[in-house]
Amino acid sequence: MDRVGRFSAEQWKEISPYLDQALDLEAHARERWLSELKALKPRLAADLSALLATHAAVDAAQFLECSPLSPGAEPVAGQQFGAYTLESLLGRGGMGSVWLARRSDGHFEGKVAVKILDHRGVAAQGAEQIRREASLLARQSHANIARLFDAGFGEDGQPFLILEYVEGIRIDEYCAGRALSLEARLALILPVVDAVAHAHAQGIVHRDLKPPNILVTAHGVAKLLDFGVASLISKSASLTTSASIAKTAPLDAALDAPPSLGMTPAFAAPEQIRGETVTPASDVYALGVLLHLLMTNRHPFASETSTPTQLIRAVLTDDASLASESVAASSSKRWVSGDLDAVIAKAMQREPENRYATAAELAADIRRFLSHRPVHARSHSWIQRAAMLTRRMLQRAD
Amino acid sequence: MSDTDLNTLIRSSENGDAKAREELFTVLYAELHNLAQRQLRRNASLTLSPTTLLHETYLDMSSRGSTSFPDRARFLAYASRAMRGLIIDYFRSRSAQKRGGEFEITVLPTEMPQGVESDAELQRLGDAVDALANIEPRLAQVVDLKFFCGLTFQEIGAAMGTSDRTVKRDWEKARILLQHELTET
Repeated sequence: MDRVGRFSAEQWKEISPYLDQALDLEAHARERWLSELKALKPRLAADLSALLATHAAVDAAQFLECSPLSPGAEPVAGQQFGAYTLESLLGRGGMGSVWLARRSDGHFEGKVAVKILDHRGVAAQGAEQIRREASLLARQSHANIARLFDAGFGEDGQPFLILEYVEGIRIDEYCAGRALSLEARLALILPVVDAVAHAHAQGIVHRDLKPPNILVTAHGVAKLLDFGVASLISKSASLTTSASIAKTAPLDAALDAPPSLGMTPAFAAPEQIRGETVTPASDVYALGVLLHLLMTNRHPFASETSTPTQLIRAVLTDDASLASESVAASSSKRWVSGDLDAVIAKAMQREPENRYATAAELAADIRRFLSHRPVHARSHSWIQRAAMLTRRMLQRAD
Repeated sequence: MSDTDLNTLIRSSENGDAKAREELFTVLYAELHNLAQRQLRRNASLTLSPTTLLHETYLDMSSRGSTSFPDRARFLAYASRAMRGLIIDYFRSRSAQKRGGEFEITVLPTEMPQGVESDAELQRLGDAVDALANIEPRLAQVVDLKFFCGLTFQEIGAAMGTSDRTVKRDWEKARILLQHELTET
């Protein structure tokens, strides 16, 4: 005969509706209800008590709650996300994977990049917020920022973002590969700084500016990827412990903790590493690191041998050396030292309030430098100002 | 198996033919397994969730034309039990391989469910779900969909045409009965 445990199908049919009722009641109301039932149907009440005791045990042990088979689902080619069908894997990172995709209905030819986020840590209540913020980001449009077209949740519940697909080369590799002059590098990065300034004016902070997120297209245009994406991710992952550890723990704990989501230690500002509030000045810091890197081909703190912990410690406690100190060729050294050194150093100040407040101010100073005007990062003596004026006049005479 | 045969099986199962039902499970098991193997050959580095595997199998079967599950929900109702079988066999073959057995479906996640110590225990759980199915099939289906297929309560509710709340309640009752079955037999 069919049984589960000691219950036959018949017995279960009788007990089941009572169990429903019992499970609906609060603990003490349930006690009273059970004792009343006991007077009427002692057998049934005894069975119910046993089942409810099992329920408490099952609940405490989280029996069957963790299926290894749920989430963590890996997307596959051909799978649909929104109106798009995945074609091939472009890359995989700690936060998920990026796919090349095409519109499923053949509506228009455009290729897009679909970023599929690992959804562990994304709480259900976060979903609506992600959607709202994504639609805000999707309204942004700038020639040097890759568009975010859409965001949503896939079949398995993973959040995904539909982004403009940019074919290009990382800005640092592009500069090195073409052996661009320092002036050309500065001219290439300037629109990127402008793009960041544009976003800052809309109240959007990038949070994760770094060479892999800045691609130069075949037309020589630098495009910023993943604008605002880091903030979507860190918000959705705010339940994970690493973020909260970073928020409250002292320095040493922060060093031992895994880097929190949505930033890269090599380009993160000190306040970002400490898990404090991220502001436009944090992006300014990252742009400073980027400028240093493009001018010198070296990271201001990291060497090839430094560990992430050493790097983080240096960012938190050391002053970066002047960019010109890392430049070998003497003509370049002369070009960088002085004003450009001052601009980069101001962008990379450890305290956010000592940096340029926004990327717009940084861009303005880069423009001043390129047109031989005194930069705001540096107070100039009248002799220096006179020298600059002469250079400007000479340039005009050319 | 031709589409006509498969459709006959689906129809007979829907009409309560127990033998057709068993055959249909066998067919679906083979479908899930074949697709998993195909994915494995295509991209060996990926793991595949049961949810995705179910989804792909459904698409694959419906794209072959005349196969007619009344809807995706009915497909899930049958396929989730087949998936349970596949998962249990998978873990069994994995431990068999450790002992020198032959094959492995590496596309599935490689960790044992938490709280399930061995493939033998997983097998016992599977048997308990079978016993549960004899008493109240709906509860067993919730366990298959939730535990063995990794669906969320919302997804199960949508698939079974009930509210999340009902699914959640069924899940609680199913867990109680399974625990009873596992400790008292």
